[in-house]
Amino acid sequence: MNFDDIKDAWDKDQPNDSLSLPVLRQLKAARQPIDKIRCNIKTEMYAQAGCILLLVFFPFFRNISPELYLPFYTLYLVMVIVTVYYLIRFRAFSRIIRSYTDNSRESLQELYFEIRLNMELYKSYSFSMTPIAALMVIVLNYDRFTVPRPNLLLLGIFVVCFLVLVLFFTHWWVNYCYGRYARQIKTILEELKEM
Amino acid sequence: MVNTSEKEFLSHIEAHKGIIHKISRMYTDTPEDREDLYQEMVLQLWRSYAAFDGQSKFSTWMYRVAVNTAITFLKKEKRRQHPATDILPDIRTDPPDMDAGSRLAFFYQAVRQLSPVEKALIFYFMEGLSHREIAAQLGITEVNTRVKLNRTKEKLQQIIKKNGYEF
Repeated sequence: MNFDDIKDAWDKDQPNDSLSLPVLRQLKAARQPIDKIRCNIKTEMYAQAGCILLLVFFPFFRNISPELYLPFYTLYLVMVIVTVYYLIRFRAFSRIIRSYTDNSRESLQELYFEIRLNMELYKSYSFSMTPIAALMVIVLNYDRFTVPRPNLLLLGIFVVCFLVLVLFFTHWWVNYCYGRYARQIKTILEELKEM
Repeated sequence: MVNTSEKEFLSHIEAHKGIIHKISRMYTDTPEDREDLYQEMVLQLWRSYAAFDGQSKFSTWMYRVAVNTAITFLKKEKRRQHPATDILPDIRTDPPDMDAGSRLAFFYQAVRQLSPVEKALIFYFMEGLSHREIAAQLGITEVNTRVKLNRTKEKLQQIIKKNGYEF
C-alpha cells in the first residue's frame, strides 16, 4: 500500500447514493464551539433576567419595613441597568456571523478570540452582579439583624469572604463550562506554529 | 420554493460533493457524526456563499470553508465510545489481494488517528494541492507546510504499519 495506490482510490471515492440535499433554511448550527457557547450563555442570561423580574415582588413577600423600599429598589434599578447592558452586549456578539473563508489559522484565531471574549464578558457580568445581590440580601434581612455592634466587624469579614468565594467560584465555573472549547482551539493553533 | 441562488449553490455542492464526503470520513468515526458534520459543512458553505466572489475556483473556496468547519466540529460526547463503522477486510489478507476500496477504508481508519491539523494536511495532499497552495489554505509558511506534511506522512505510515500493513 502506498500513497500512489491510495490516490487512485481516493480520487474515485464518492458517496454511494445521491446525497439528499438538505433544505437549506432548515439547517441549524449547533455543533461549532462558538454556537454552543452563545446558546448556553443566552439561555443563562435570559434565565437570570427572568429571576430579576421576579425580584421586584420580594419586598412584599418578605414584608420588609417601608423605609427599606428605597434602598432596595435603588439597588434593583442598578441591577436592571447592568443586566440590560450585558444583554445588549451579548446580543451584539451573537449576531456576528463568523467567516469560515479565511485561512485556517486566521479562522481559528478569530474563533479563539470570540470564545475568550464571551467568557470574560460573562465573568464580568457575574462580578458586577455579586456585590449588588449581596447588598440586596442585607437590605431584605435588615429588619431581622440582631448583631451586636462588636460583631459587626465579623459580619463584615464574613461578607467579604463570601464575595471572594463567589467570585472564585464564578471564575472556576466559567472556565469549567467554556474553557475546554478555548483550550481545544488553542491546541490546534499551537500545532500550526512554525517548527 | 428554491430560489436561483439556492439552485446555483446546490448544483455546486452536487458537483463537488466528494470533497464533503471525504472530509466527513476523515474527521468523524460514526455514521451519525458523519451526517452531522456533512450538514454542518453545507450550512457553513451556504452562510458563506454570499461572500464567494468567483475570483478563485469554487473547489478552492469550498476546501477552506469545509476544512475550517471540520477542524472545530464538536462530536457528541456519548457517541465517542462507538468504534468506527467502516467495513474492514480481514487483517491477515495480503495488501496486493485487497481491493482498492478496502485499502482506502484502512487508510481512512489510520487518518482518523491523526490530529485535526494533520488530517487537513493529508486531505490537501491527497487532493493534489502544492505545498504553496496548502500553506495558503492553512495560513502557514511553505517551509512549515513541507516539514509538517513529511512528518504527518511518516506518522501515517507508522500507524498503518502498526495495523499490520506495509506502506
